Amino acid sequence: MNTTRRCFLKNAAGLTLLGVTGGSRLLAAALERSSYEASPKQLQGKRWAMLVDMRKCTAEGDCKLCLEACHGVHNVPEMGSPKEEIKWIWKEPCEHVFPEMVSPSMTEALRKRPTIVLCNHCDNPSCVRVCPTQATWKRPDGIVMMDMHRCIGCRYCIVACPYGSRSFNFRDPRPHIKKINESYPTRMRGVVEKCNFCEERLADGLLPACVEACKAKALQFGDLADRSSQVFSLVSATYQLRRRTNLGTEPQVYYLL
Amino acid sequence: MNDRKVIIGGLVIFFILVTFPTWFTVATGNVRKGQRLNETLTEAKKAARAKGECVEPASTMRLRHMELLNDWRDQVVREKKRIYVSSSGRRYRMSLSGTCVDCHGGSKKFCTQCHDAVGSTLFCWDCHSEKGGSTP
Repeated sequence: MNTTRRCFLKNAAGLTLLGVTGGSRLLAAALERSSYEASPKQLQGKRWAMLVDMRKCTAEGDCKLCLEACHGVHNVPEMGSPKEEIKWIWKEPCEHVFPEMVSPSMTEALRKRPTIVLCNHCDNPSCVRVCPTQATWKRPDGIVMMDMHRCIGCRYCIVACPYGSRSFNFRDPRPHIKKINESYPTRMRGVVEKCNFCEERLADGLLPACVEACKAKALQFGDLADRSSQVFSLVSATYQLRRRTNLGTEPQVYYLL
Repeated sequence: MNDRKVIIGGLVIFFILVTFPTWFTVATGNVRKGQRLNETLTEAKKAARAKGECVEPASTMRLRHMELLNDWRDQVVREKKRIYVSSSGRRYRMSLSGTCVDCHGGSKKFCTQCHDAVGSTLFCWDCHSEKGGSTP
């Protein structure tokens, strides 16, 4: 053999490099040949929106059907204290929801009337702008999503959201969930959560849980970009309210009062 | 070769340190734990085999299951895709508790044992639940 020392070292280094980088990959290259698809049942939309018809809503009584449906599906805990409360969809006095609509001459009952509120899935979401890890972002179909795996619990989004739609898990929420729905994850201590417009149900071809649960048909959900949708026909043909539009967030939950 | 004593002594100490994990495990009797681990893994394997093939060949899964799970997570949460088309063209719903662990006979047997043995902590089950609610 006429190998020089230089040649031998070069070959040895090359083989080692191949072994370290390529070898294991070549053995298990199956992943490179795989691909991903959307669920065939996925509801397609370009701008999901919700219409809350407070003229039909029975929140003034004991009705909590939409709240219970949402919280049951998404493993929302009952923390027991207002400071640690986790909120996806809840009742808020009207004077807090639409402060600009309330006047001192209104009756107490009108001012305090319980109104259904949830994340507005804004077109221009301030929470998304401030998130340092892109744990929250706006999907092309308009849903403002959360990736719990990425959330570092900095709570900038809570400060940025003008609607108080985001809650922080100060403690492990699991012990405070009455019955865990195993097909949806719970959260852990130190992450922010909020309404996700039931994106996991849309993937299965289902409407949001709150919409499905409402017996009074006060909640309408649909694609605002689709001119044949019921939400579009209602929103385009009537006067409706959105929360704090002066801030420029372009909320996509519409109200009929 | 005046330093022979130092060199050989150093080599002996080096050898003892390098082989520490092996003889320490034998000395503390943790070998049996490893054997038990093998037994339960075989059980899990049998249970899964009875239900058909895994999403990818076992050699790939053994080497790259962490990559696959990370991809599944990102595709489902961030890309709105829910179906995995495997290298052999079969379709699976991407779900940690629904597809992986349901078939492999529970996370305690299938994930936690191995990860405990190699000392890597799993936090998947802090949030994800298994069917039957038996979360470790």
